[in-house]
Amino acid sequence: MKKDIINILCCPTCKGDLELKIKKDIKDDVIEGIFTCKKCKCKYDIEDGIPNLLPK
Amino acid sequence: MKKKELEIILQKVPSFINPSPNLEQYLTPANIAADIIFLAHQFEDIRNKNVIDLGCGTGIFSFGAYITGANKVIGIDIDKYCIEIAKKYAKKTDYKISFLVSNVIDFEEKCDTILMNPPFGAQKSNLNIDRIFIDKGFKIASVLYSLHLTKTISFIEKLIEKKGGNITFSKKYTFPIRWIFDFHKKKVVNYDITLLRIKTDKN
Repeated sequence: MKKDIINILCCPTCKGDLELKIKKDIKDDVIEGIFTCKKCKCKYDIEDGIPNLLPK
Repeated sequence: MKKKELEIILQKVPSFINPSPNLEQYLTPANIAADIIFLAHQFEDIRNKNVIDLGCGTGIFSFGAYITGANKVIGIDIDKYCIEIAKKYAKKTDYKISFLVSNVIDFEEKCDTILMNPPFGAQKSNLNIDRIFIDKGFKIASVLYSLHLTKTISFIEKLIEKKGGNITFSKKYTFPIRWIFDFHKKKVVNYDITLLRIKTDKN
């Protein structure tokens, strides 16, 4: 997942902005990390470079 | 590039490993996908455009759009497993496509063109799902390419008219669906489907 994709994503639950915490990356590619919604604090994982925006 | 060449490339796009009947995960045949990509290209809806593949499955439309010169391609699907397959193939071939797992309803990013083969709503749990895809398309894109069962087209046309959109082109295909689920009784069933090019009211 490219870092700049965060600009086009929003929280699927409340449409708030997301904050990205990177655990592992290669150059511009995020391999593992967590999105946290600034508004409702929901968390969404990035695994193997794939953001999973399904509410848990 | 010739259409046949694109078809040969698209034939290599991996299929679903464990397709889910509830999500109606059928791979769009490579010849039909290539034909649609070429049509979209002729309408100048691909080159240097931002293209989104809604309900991308293993990403056949995403790959086709990328290969034919789209600026940015995003494939989204609710099923994590098919996105993993798509992502793996993109990595192997070095195609720069963003794949993400998301419900189509929740996706808000604007784009130029949407290519989609939404579930036909053949399963009870999916009733009206094609409508949800079209609604979303109208919100985020200026042109949609969408595949529907020919027998539902009159309904879809009414829906599009009501939303203020225009169907500027349509084409019929036969879509062979092979026996992959237990509830299928025949080896291959041919479905008549229609491709619609829809201009939404956005520019």
